[in-house]
Amino acid sequence: MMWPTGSFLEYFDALPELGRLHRDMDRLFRGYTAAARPFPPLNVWSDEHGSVVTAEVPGVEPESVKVTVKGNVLTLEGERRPDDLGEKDIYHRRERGYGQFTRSVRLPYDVNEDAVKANYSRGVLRVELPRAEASKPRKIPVAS
Amino acid sequence: MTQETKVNVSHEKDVSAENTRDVPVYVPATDIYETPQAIVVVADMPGVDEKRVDINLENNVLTIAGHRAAEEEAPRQLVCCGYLQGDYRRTFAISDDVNRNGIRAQMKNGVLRITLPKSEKLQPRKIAVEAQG
Repeated sequence: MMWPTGSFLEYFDALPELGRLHRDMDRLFRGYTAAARPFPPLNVWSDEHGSVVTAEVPGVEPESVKVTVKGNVLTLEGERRPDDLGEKDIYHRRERGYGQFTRSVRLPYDVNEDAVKANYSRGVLRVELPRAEASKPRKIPVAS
Repeated sequence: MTQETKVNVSHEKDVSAENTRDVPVYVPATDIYETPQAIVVVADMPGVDEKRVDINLENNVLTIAGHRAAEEEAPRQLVCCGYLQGDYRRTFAISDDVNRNGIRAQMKNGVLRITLPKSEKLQPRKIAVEAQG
C-alpha cells in the first residue's frame, strides 16, 4: 500500500480514539470521584396531576436557593459556601464541594406556574409542580 | 491529628456493619479542619433529623450515624432517581488530645457540624513577658 504524501493526521482521525480514551478513563475512576455526578442529585415523582422534584442540597441557606419555572423547564440555582476559616486554620480533608450550582429539568408537560410550591427542610429541597390544566389529557367520548 | 479508618468517599456504600433494615448505608462527604482551639468535623447528611443523629466517641474512635426517614410521595411514582435514601455512617480515628467534655454538635440544613475542642495542654498560650526595672 502506498501512503499519500502530506500530513499523517489528515488521514488519521484522532477524535474517536480520544473519545474512547476518555470513556476508558471515566470507567477507571468511577466511584472515586463525584465529578461526573450532576449537582444537586434529583428525584422526580409523577402522576397524572403533576410532579414533585426533590433535590439534595445540604448546607445551603433556604433564602439563597432560586427556583424558577418557565413552561415545562424547572431550574434550581444556589450556592454552597465553605466555612470561614481563620488564618491559622488548616483543612485535614475536603470532600464536600463548594460553589454555585444550576440544574434544569425539562418535564414532559407544561407546569401551572402559579401553583408551584417549594420548601426546604434538612438539606432537601422539595418542589411541587402541578400540571397545567391545558396540558392534562382529556377523555374523549366515543359516539356510536 | 485525625486519621481515617476507611477510604470510601461520598455516596459510596459502607459495608462494615449491615443494617437489619434493607436500606443502603452511605459514607457522608466530610470536611475536617483544625483551628488553634479545636477540630471541626463537617458532614453532609441531607434528610436527617437532628433527633436521629448518633455521635459516639469511644476509644478514640468517633462514629457518626444518621437515620433518614424515607420520603414517599405516594400516590406519585418515582420516575427519575438521582439519589437513593439510606442511612449515613462514618468512622474516624481521633487523637487523644480532645477535651471530651467540651464536644459540641449541631445540625443545620442537613449538615452536621461537630466541634472537638483540643485539650488545654495543646492550646496555644501566650506568655506575657514581665518588664524588669
